[in-house]
Amino acid sequence: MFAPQAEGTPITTIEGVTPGPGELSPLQDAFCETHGLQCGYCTPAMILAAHALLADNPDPTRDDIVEAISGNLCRCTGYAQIIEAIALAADRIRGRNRPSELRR
Amino acid sequence: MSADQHRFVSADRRVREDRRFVAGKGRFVADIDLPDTKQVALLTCPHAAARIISIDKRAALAMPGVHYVLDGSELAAATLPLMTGLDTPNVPRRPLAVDIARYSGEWVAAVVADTRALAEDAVEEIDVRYEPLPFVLDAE
Repeated sequence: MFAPQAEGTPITTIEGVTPGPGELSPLQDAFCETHGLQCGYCTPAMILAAHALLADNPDPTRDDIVEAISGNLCRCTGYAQIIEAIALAADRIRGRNRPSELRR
Repeated sequence: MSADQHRFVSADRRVREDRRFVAGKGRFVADIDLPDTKQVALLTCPHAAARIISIDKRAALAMPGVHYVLDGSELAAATLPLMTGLDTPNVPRRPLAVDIARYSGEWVAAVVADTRALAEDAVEEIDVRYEPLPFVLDAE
């Protein structure tokens, strides 16, 4: 998608996914936890693509995740840890209201 | 071994700088916008292997906002080859191809201009004559 195609629509950037000052969203946190980044250059786009995916599909398969981030290039991680981060965040978001003894 | 003595060994640690990258607070060279910074665009070789016969820079240099066109010979005369980490003394690696381009996409010339767009346009005005050479597609 080119920027002019987004004219008139609300746009969320990476700054907009942080729940509050000094806090991280489950996705941002999962990227840190699984080492889903190194240099960080592609990271905002990866996280935003993942946010868009999870908004539509809270329980994505590995293929769904791969498809969702396929528009971004990462030269550091080899993608495996990015996919891991998104799967971990999806699991945590789904399990948010699960009683703690039922959580994995 | 005691745990406090080896707190980094076999322990999951978070990377200190990750936090700023996931929150959009990363700062990269591309974010630095100093006044009067010039931009570079690179001309790539379209052949898998080719001898570079000539590089005509005149049209590119005549464009307003274009400051310099650097080719491999000029760069090689002023710099040492890159370190390759391989024992291949007969194949010096250089940032811009000298005489022979050895793969499709190898950089052949660099244009310095006021903006990246101008530099990219000027790249298209460089007239390189190649003599395509035989090439191999696999290690066998």
